[in-house]
Amino acid sequence: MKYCSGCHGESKPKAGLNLEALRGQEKPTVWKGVWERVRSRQMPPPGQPQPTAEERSRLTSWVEDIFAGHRLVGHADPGPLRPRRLNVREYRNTLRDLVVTGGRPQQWRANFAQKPDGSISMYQLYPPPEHPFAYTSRTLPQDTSDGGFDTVGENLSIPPFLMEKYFRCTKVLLDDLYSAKAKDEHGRHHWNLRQLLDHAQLGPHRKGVTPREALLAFVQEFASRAFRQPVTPAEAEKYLKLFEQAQHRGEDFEASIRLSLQAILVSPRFVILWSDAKEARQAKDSPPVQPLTDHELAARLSYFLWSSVPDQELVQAARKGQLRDEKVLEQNVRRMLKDIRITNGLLEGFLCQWLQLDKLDRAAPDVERYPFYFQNNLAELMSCEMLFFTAAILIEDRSILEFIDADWGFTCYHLARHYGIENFKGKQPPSNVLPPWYRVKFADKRRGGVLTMGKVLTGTSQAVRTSPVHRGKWVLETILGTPPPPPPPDVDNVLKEDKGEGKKSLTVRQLLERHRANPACFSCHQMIDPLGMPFETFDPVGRWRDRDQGQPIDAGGALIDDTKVKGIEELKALLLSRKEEFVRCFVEQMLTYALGRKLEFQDAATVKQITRAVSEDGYKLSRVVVEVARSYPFRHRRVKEVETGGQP
Amino acid sequence: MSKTRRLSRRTVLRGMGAALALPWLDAMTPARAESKAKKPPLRMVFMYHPLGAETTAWKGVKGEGKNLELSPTLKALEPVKEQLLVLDGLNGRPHPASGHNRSACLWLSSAPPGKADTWGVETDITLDQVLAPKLSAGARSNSLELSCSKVGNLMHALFTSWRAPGVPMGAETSPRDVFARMFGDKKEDLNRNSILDVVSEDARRLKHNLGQADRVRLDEYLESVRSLERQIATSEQTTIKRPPTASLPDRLPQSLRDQIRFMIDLLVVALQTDYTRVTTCALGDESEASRGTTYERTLADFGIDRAQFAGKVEAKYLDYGHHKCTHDPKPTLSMIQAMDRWYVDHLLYLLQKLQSIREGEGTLLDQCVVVYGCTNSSGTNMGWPGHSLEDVGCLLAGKGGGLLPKLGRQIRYRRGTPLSNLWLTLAQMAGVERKEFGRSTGTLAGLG
Repeated sequence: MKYCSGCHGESKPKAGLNLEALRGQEKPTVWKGVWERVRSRQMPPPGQPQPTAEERSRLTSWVEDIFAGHRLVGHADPGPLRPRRLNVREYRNTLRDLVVTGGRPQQWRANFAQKPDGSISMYQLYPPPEHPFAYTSRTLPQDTSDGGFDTVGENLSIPPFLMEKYFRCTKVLLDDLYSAKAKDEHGRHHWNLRQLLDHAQLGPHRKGVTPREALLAFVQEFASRAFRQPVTPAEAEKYLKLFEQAQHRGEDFEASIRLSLQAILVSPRFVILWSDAKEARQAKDSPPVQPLTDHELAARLSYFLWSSVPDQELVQAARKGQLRDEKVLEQNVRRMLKDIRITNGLLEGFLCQWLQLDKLDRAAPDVERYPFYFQNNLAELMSCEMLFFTAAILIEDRSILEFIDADWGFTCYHLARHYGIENFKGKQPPSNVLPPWYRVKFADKRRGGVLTMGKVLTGTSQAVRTSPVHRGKWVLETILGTPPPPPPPDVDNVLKEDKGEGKKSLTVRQLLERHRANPACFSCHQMIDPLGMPFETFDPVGRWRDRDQGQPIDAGGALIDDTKVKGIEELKALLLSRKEEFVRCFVEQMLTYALGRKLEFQDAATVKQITRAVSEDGYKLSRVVVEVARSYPFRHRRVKEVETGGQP
Repeated sequence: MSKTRRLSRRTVLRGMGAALALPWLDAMTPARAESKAKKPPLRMVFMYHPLGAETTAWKGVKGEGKNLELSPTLKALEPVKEQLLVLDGLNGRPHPASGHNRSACLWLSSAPPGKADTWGVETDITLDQVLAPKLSAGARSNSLELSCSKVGNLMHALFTSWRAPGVPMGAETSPRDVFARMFGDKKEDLNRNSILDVVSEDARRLKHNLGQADRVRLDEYLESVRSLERQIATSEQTTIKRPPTASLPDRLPQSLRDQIRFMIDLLVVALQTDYTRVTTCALGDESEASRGTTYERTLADFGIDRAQFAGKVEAKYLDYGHHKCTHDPKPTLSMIQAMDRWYVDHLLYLLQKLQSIREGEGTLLDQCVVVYGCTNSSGTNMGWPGHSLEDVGCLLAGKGGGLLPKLGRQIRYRRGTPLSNLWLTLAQMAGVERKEFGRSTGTLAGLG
């Protein structure tokens, strides 16, 4: 407190925050702000007396202990499990698994093994198989991803016109089901749903089973999978009735069964996750926290990892009540990580959104200055590089610290030339479409890890110059998990690129220094820009450079707490030396993605626990995933409303 | 006119698809066999243009009626100037803490301070949604939300229409979707009805098992069911208004200008066939622009000839996106103004289109109130370069069935008059009983 009250004291408190007046009061929202700023070393500001690391952690722990508990009559608060609709990605994957694959396990055969010519095998990762329901992403409204991820419930409201779109999507699906699209090259129906349907219609049925009973069983089975909950025969009857009404009107089998299937696929039990909570329905005196039911847990797991419905094995385990056993849970998580469905799930959903790949994709270097960027298709190759690297960490279960720095990576001919990698052995491919990829070991620390990948360096640059601001911001958001606040309204956030006092063009560093001279900008940019400066040895399209505007590069920068670094190698080393911060950020992001809500103050304890477990297991990616799946808020729901800001 | 109308619509539309001729959907105008006895209903159109007009070129409207002199930005509206009401001096709202790129959501709502949603943005029910239940009673759909923007991941920047704090109405971005929504298929409708019966029963049962706070999505789902049911029910009754054989051209327009025009065509068809009576149309959004990296619309996207800026703007600025220009307005002033004029051209297109359709004793425009504006204004005279939410440009057009009898003029308000006052006035004019709206301090004088 002695470090704070100089500014946030009784007299003229800065930012209206008077900590003296708060002493002894328990206002979680205010203390949460204090906790965040102190923890991320944004406060006290550089230049002021700094607390020691130990003092800092004592303060944050104190805040956590008192307020993070946020206990509910003896239970820790797992947060609510609010019903939300499937996002477009989940909807698309879910249809695929329900209709085409039938939820059969699919081993992932991309293993990055070397082929005879030295290139590597990336079966089904490159080129990715075409998604059979890609059209749904064009029919359904695009999801927003405020809060970082498209799984965050607040993004997933249901506008009035959505019902109509669900009808249109499912109509196309059912048209396809009875068209050539569902047949393989031999004219056989290879879509799982069509096989089941034909079997239900044509038999042969088991002895003593009437055609109607067979059909009812089919509807019941399909609905159970779609709803991620066992469906009773009585409930299935309601859907079968649509079939019978249509038959009564004289429609043929196909036209009639379409009604039942379509009803299941537009039902709220299908499109809204966590909507079917009959088992969570409680009496007045029931506890405020309940564990998820077995089937809910199975669904939560499969939407976390695959962004899709649980497969047969998971459903089996849920049916037998085995998922509550942490060992079985872990086995299932590890099994699911090895399934191809992870590519459209955790890889596309979590890892790509965490790295902000969609934003980086919007890079637009200057065509005239960087024609090769376009001629050699570098934008796509850079995306591939990042994707393969991320996939390799996932497949080979590597340490997440390798995101910051690694001595290996993937490259292809044009990218290796672009980066100036010397010992690259590959030959120029005949075309730029699907060039062979190679695994390389980097000779020095200039490359390696996502920070120095072309995608990040280009995606955070302007057309003709670099932007340490955006590079710094990307690091703050992605690696350190402390996004800067948005710029105040009354500032000019474009750097004037006119000449300096001499006739020489200014370097980016000089431009930024001028920008920071504005006091309104200074308070935030002093933490953003110095973090972007070490990247200055990379030009706007990600090539190494030693000079900018004819002047030698000064790649000296600093972290928020003013620790100085010089050059990208030192920055990476420094970030690694503070790996706990990165690991915590990574865990927070994955937990947000998995829980589908912004993290609350009470989740700090969970994050801490997972972070500890991860550091004890070599920072393996799979350990993060397993720990998130095992965590308390993942497996429980709050069934009573609590007043936010209430007494602990 | 009458002869081309009789052509099979499919033929006409297919032909247009090949030729890509404008206007896109003229041939779909149904025959004028509407009942003349009934007074045509009031329609409201809210058209949002992104990033705010540059104020020096927007301002300077003088005179009245035939002698109305338009400002440089509004010059294009000359042919329809007697249909305009230019409002000057209105204030959006104080700058939101969430940044001005999340401001499309604030245009039609202006929620009072302290009423932030979970993202800290002060969203609230927007004017169009306040009006929709009243005005669209009897139409097939309550409202239609269109967006001519395809990128962006911030809901607050993308959506101009909200039905409650934190809950956007969403928006249609694909002309094909809008078309399919307006002209479904009869047999399909019958099937849909029986399915809707089953699933809405499901939803009600599920809702029963959930706590109050967990019911939100189920309520939304049920509302979505009702919306579709109503669309089906009303379209059964109003068969004449529905061109059964209409289909879209096989190839949709490629250029941004034509894409937006296509959307406007659909908007007009929606009003004309009484699909709905309240629409919002966002011509673009601000969402990603402030990130500095592109995807802002540039001169190339707009199709504005760069040559005209020779000597006025340095070459390096010519690749700047719209948002970036507005934050560096001095050297790019003439570019910003050209972009503003580009958006105003779409308003002209809409107004002329509405004017070309006869309805009752006058034109469709006579039955509409069209509002054109933005949450922001921009320019060099804001005290800083960039955006301000003060002194925003706002245009009204159309008599609104007599609500706005005297057009072709400008009304100046005392600086600082809240934009909410306009929304309150419009709501009251449309017959919605409300004493206040958002940050309103009263109603606007001089409109009626």
